[in-house]
This record gives sequence, C-alpha cells and structure tokens, in this order.
Amino acid sequence: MQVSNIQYYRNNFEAYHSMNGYSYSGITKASGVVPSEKMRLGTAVHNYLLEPEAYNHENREIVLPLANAVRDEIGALLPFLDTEVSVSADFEYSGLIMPYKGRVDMLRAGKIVLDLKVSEVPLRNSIPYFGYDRQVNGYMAATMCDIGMIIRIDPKSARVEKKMIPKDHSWWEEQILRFGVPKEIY
Amino acid sequence: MQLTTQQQGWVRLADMKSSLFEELQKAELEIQGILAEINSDNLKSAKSVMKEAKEKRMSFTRLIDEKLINPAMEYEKRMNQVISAAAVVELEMRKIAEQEALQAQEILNEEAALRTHIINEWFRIAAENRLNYEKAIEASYRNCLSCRVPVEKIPAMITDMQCILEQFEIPQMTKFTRGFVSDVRAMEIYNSIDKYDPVFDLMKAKKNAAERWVNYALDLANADVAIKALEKAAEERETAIAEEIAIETATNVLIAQAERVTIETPKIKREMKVVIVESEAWAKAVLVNFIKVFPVDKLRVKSWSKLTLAQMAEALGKSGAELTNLQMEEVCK
Repeated sequence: MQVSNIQYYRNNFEAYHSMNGYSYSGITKASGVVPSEKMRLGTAVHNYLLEPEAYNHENREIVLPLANAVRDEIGALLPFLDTEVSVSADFEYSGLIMPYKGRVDMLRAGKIVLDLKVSEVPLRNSIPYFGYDRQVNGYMAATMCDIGMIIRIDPKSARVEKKMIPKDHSWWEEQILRFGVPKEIY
Repeated sequence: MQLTTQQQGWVRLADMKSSLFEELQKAELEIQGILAEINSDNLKSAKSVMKEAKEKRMSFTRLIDEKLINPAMEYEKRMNQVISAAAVVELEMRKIAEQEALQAQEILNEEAALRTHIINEWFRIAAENRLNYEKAIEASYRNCLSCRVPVEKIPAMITDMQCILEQFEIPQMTKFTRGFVSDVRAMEIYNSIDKYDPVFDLMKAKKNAAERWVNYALDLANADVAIKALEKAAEERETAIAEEIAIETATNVLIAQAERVTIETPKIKREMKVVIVESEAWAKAVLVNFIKVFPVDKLRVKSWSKLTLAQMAEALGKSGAELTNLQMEEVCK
C-alpha cells in the first residue's frame, strides 16, 4: 500500500467530521453510535488530557485521576506529542486510490501513534471485537509511523494497560479494493 | 418381626416425642383456660404451667442433643480440623508461589529495563558521537573564520581536522544498576542488541570535514556575521539532537512497558483486621474509632440494635481508615 498527499489539520471534531475521506469508523459504521454514560466519561478524560479547552470540568473528581494516570504512563514522551490531530491522505493499492481520514489522539509524525481508550474491557478482548488494531493501522499508515500503541485506562480502577499494534495494512488494502477508484480518474 | 436394640430405641423415642407433644398441647390449652380470666394469680399460674412445659420439652431436646446431634457433629468437627490444617498448608504454598512469581516478575521487569537501557544508550551514544564530530568541525570552521586563517592554509587544516576526528572516543554507556538479573543473563541481553559501530559515522564526518570549507572564502568575506549565524545554527542543531534523543528514549521506554510480560500470580486475598483483645480498653477503643470513622458502607446489619463490637471492629478493619489504640493484622485467604 502506498500513501501520499498527507495533510494534517488542527481542527475540532465537527470540522474533522465534515472532511472528505474514508475513516475506520465510517467504514465500519461505528460513527453514529449514541454515546452512553461510560462513553461520555471517556470523552471527558480524553478532552481533559488532549483538548483541555473542550473539557467542561464536569465529574472532575473522576476525570482528573484517570487523566493523571494516563499522563504518568506516557511520561517523558508527552511533551513531544501532538494531540487530537486530524489527518487526510490518499491510500493507494493495486492501481486504486481511496481518500482516507483519521483523527489521531496522540502523534509524533513519522514515529509513533498513541490511541487512548477509556474502557473497562481488557484490550485482549476489545481489540478483536472493535477492530482497534485496524483503526490504529490506518493512523499509522497516514502518519508514516511504524509504531502504534493503544493505551487503555480502566475508569473504575484507574489502571493503565498498553499494547503495541503490529504494522499490518492488509485490512486497509481490502478497503481500497472496495472503495477505491482508478488512479487515472481520481 | 424382632426389632434390633437400636430400632427399639427409635420406637421408644417416637413414643416419647408423641407423649411430650401431647403434654405440651395440654399445657397450652391449660394456659388458654387459665387466662380466660386475667388476674395476677391466673397469670402466675399460667407462667408456672409454661415453666413446667418448657422443662419437659428441654429434657427431651437435651436428650436428642446429647445422643444424636452432638455425636453427629463430632464428625464435622474432626473433618473441619483436617480441612483447616490443610488450608493453612495450601495458603502457605500459595504464598510461596506468589513470592516466586513476584521475584520472577521483578527479574523480567529488570531484564526489560536493562534491554531498554542498552537500546537507549546505544542510540544516545550514536547521536552524541555524530554531534561531537559535527561540533568539532563547526567549531574548527568558526575558529578559522575568527582567526582569519588564509584560504591557502585550509587544505592542511582539513587534514589535521580529519586526524583529530580519528582520535575521538565514543561517549561511554551509563551504568545500569542491577538487583536481580545475573551477570550471565545481562551479558546475553547486551549481546542480543546491535551495538553502535562508529566507523561509518567517522567516515562520514571526515567527508563532511573535507566539504565543510567549500564556502570558506565567501564566509571569510563577512566573517563576524557568518560566525554569528553559524553559532545560532549549531545551537539549534544541538537542541534538535537532544530532542531526538529524548523522543527516542521515551518511546523505547513506552514500548518496553507495553511489551512487558506479566506473570500470573496466585490469588491471595489480603484483608486488614483489627486484632481482638478481650479487654475493656479494647472495647472502648473500638467504640471511639467506630464513632469517629463510622464505616457504615462496610457494615452488613439486619438490626442496628443488635450491632456488636465484633461487627464494629470488622467494619473498621475493612474501612482502611487510620485507627488509634487498635492493633491491626493482615489476614490472608
């Protein structure tokens, strides 16, 4: 799979949503889910840590310890990471091109992608169920990163789990065959 | 059919039960009759009838306790003793297994940390070594400008510079303090990681040195300004290298943490309990602490009026609060 025309955007989620391109959640139809209480907590932790200006300071007593636990885990790398970055790129495979878009939690372009999950479900269960590895591989491809990692924080125990995601473009190549258009008419 | 002695005993017991129940029924009816008219004397008589009935009932149930229930329970008591003794041994075994697992985990953690340390150190050494070559060349270049070294002397200067670069020693690896990993294992880990080979960087640095003075004559024309610009560039380059090292190091640490193997430890439930002391002082201490902490979330009571000191002490133990004048002990299950 070839990746070209990479562009980064510092925008909010709504602006990202309106961008053109196939995202993982768009392809898997996971983007229209009505958020549950737990999902809202996850968003709050996410916001506080990665987009503090978007955090409304509700449930501070729950959100802060979780965000701090994640920050401690990422440690010395955090100051070098860009957070909440939207990226678009052209994914090319077998003569077809598919526009891609993704919103990366934490990124050092060309080096490492970190995806934050606030969930009680261990990664060994959630990764195969939700296909998080495919999602992260999309981010990795679009940002030219060889290292992908998911960091899960358990909202009940504040315990952090980390898992490396092996580089594997095969799922995205299948998507290019499904949604891509010939290079000549792209 | 001839009954055995034991069977005869059971028949006799059934007869005793029937006659007792008849007598108890009579006593109940008698009391109802007496209390048809309520007065002090009748109440006294009713109580006397009930007392007598209770004694009859107790002599029967005592007999059953002594001859039937207590002997039957002896089996349980003996079984329980054996099981309790075995549970102590089994808990000890789990504790030993836990200790071994924790020790193995510590070794694994240290091995992972050592591996990361070596990887990071080689990266740092390589980056610093390259930077040292660069800094030396740049410093020499700026020095030439500063001293206004004539252009014709530069080729000899470059040769000297290249000789100096050959004398450079690569930075030293910082020491990793081991507590658990053996010398042999540490050596295995060290040997399993690609070492930094400075030969290629030295060749490149010598080539860079040869090319660095290409624009020297032009820079010499406005030497002071050129020096300032070069100093700024050198500073920026040093900052960039330091950042590169910091990112690589932090990334490697994160990766090592994510890849760390976790050994399953046997499950041992540990609870803190208040040590029971049969004394008035202990009772007061429990009451005082209970009122202070009031750990209602750790209590399971059906009736508040029946809350005991033992229950209060148990709840205090579970509360995790700092208690005064009470001794705590850890209980493993």
